[in-house]
Amino acid sequence: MPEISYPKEVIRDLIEGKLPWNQLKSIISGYKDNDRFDKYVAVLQEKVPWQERILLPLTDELYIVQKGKERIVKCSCGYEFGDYRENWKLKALIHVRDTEAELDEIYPYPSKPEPGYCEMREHYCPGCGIQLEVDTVPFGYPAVFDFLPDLDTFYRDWLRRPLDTKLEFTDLSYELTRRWSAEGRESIKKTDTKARRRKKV
Amino acid sequence: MGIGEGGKTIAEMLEERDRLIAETGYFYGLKELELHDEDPAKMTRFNWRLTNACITAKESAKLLSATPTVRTFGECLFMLLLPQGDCITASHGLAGHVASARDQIAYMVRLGYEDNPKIREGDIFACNSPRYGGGHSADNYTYVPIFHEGELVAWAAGINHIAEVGSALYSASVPIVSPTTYTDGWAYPPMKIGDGFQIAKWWNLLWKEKTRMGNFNILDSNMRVAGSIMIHETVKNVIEEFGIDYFRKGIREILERERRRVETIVRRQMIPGIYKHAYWRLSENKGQVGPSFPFADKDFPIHTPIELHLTGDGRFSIDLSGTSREDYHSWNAPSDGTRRLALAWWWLPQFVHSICINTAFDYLIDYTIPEGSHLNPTNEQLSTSIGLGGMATLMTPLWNICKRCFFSRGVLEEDWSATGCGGLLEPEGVLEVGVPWSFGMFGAAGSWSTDAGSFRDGLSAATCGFNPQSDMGEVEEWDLYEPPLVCLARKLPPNLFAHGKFRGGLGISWVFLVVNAGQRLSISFGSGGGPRIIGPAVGMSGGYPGGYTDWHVIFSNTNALELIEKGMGYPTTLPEIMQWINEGKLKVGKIQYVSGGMPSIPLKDGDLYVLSSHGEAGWGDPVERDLSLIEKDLNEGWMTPGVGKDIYGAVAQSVDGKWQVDKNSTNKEREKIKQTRREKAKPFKEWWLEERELVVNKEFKEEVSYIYQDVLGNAKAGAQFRGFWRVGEDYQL
Repeated sequence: MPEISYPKEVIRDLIEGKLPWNQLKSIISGYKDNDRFDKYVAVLQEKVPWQERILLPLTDELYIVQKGKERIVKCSCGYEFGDYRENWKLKALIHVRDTEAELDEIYPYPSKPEPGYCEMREHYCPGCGIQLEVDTVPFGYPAVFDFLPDLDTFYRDWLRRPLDTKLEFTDLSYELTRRWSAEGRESIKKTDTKARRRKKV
Repeated sequence: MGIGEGGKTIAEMLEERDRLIAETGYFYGLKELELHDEDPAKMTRFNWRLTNACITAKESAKLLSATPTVRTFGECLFMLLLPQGDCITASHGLAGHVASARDQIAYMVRLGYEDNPKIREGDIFACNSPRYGGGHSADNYTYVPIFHEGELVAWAAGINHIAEVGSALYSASVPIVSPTTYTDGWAYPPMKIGDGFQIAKWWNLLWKEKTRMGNFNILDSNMRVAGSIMIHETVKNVIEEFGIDYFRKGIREILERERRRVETIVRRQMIPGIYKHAYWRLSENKGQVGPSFPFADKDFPIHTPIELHLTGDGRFSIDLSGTSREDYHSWNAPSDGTRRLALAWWWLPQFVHSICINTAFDYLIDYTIPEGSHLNPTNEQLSTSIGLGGMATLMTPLWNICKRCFFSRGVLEEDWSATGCGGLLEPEGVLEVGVPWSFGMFGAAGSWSTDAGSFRDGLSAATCGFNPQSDMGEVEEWDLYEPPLVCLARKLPPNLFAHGKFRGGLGISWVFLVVNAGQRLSISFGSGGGPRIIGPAVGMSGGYPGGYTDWHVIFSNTNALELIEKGMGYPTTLPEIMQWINEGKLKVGKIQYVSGGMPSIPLKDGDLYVLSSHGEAGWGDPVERDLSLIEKDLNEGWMTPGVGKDIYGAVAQSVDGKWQVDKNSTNKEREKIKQTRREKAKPFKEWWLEERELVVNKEFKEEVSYIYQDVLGNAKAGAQFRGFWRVGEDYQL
């Protein structure tokens, strides 16, 4: 396959949705550029207000960054969620839409999900209040860990430049819930004294 | 003495293929692509001759088909297969079916068809049963073996979605309610249906006996055979031109070349790791199956937790542990072919960017599906009438996984996903003159919108996920095949999309009026979308999920015909209908609402039927949406100002009939929204502790409890559930 490389400005325009269609189409139809990831990360690095090295963008606002010897999830606002091997949602704010009225706000037609069977979980950044992800799941569904990247394999075997330190590739979220369970309800300051609506119908 | 290369049986050739792949990692052990290296131009010419044979077969043979489903929508495919069934290349069209032919050929081999009924030059074989590698009985396959001097060197194959399958309960090509295999309609295993390149006469009689639209189905059968024979003839010419040795080696090299191509794409666009996604839907059987099937007279929640592990060597390991049990609904996927076909709907549009659609990617996938689940059923009495659908709806989660990956990797231009809202309207009836009729209208299936991407809104009424060549077609042509159903309008109503910094594509709504219903008329709707839920339609990066369902509103006993006769016009959207009712202009006796798939519902003259498919998922926080895009949505009527303010924080006012968004007021409103979020939301830990008490007390609705029983019954999925909620190992429901 031929070696292709686009100027950084083109990648920036792609990110910002500024590429004209004919240019975008030719990028879609052409061979991929080998240095895309590096230029992509370089453009994003210029956009964030902090200095930590971006290892992997996760969403519009969330990045896995190298902080000292740690790899953490960080919001563009600067809020830090902790080790990337824990599901960041467990460190976010959560609001659950589980009533007819709240679901009507988002889905004004009859096709909205049915409360009691399905709930909509909105995850916000505690630092800036931005909405980071929205999940729809049955009541009682464990938080979905969308993506646990195998960073060491990616950098070592696919990009051919290993990261400085190697971390065990494992989901640490269960350790977090284990700690919460041990700490119990006494460990938190309740913000809502109302009893939650019972889900059983 | 077998019919394969050098006197081998096809069974021996199958074993040889699998052994060489396992031993070397290369397709057929081809470490070197000698023909490609020796003369790339010759190989390209060879490849194009074969691909063109398939495309030409399709474009010519489709004209024999009775319906626009094939001619316009493109619901057919022609393929060239290895003797073992691997697809070398194919036409455009219903591309996923490249993956199931392999399984059907394997069934013929395992069943000993080489000895009985024997495979000879000029034979014609056919199959549509999901139990033998098919998707669902609507998808009918035809195979014509290609021989050279007594050796089976390839297969030509054609497949299309037929008009009607003869289900027991109601007319449809996709009967969504079928309690057992005995009500599914006509599903047949691989059969020899002709020889000497001629279809046996009894074959056409069977279509007339077994289905409601025998004549349509016979024409489609003729089409598949004609196209397959066209491929057969071209391949014979190619062998004569290139030589049999080149042909044998060349078709294997094409597959190894394609395997390398997709492997490279995966490494350039994906990221190794573990991806998780939740998917579930509801099969609403209650009240639909009649008193003869009490065991099926209930609603079945169908859940599949998806864990995809992309390993460092570029392989996809798909683990569906915890998937809901098999049951008396129609979503059981009974064979490897059904499952691989469904997965092809995922990987074809994401990775196979090639001159030939083929099955090389299939060798990168391993999957784990619990035995006894609806995706790996053991009870042969269960219905499989949408067996394909049960698995195929995983394509949306898997597309979403790719989308997430492409974003992280920076190949933003490749992200493509859709939720799958838009199915088949399947009316039937008897005309006034006594002529029975039935049809499957694919217009809604061809007008899915797409999810938003990280730098653009989703497309509206643009595509069909399972058919990359789809076209929603002309209303007038669809109307021709469903005489009493007159389409008054198809429109993109306001606010029928999912919100985000980039919004999902707009949903579409159709309004039909019943004119001259005849002696009898009813409609049903086959939908991948489930009622009462939003399953796999995740938004991303803070965007909202798409509404994963079609929905239907039927207005009975109306005066719509009278209004038209008086020249007073007619309403064209649901909001307009409701407005006309409120104004007293439109009189309505009864309003019926159905969500998702719809079993047979009778209609009569003057009834209005509204079919709507929700728009797709958004990307990014809505309060980040560019103000100029909001102004455009308001001025084009896609969004109402109230939604603009409540969801997007956009403060707009109309100036000389044009909506303008005020930047300063909007900034303040958006800050207010973000502040409100922080006030009403809880730290996850606090929510978890409260929620856990409900989980510990097992306060689940019955259907939700049904889902978790199967999760907890599976060692891996159960451990994850118990580990997240920190309930004991003995926790059961």
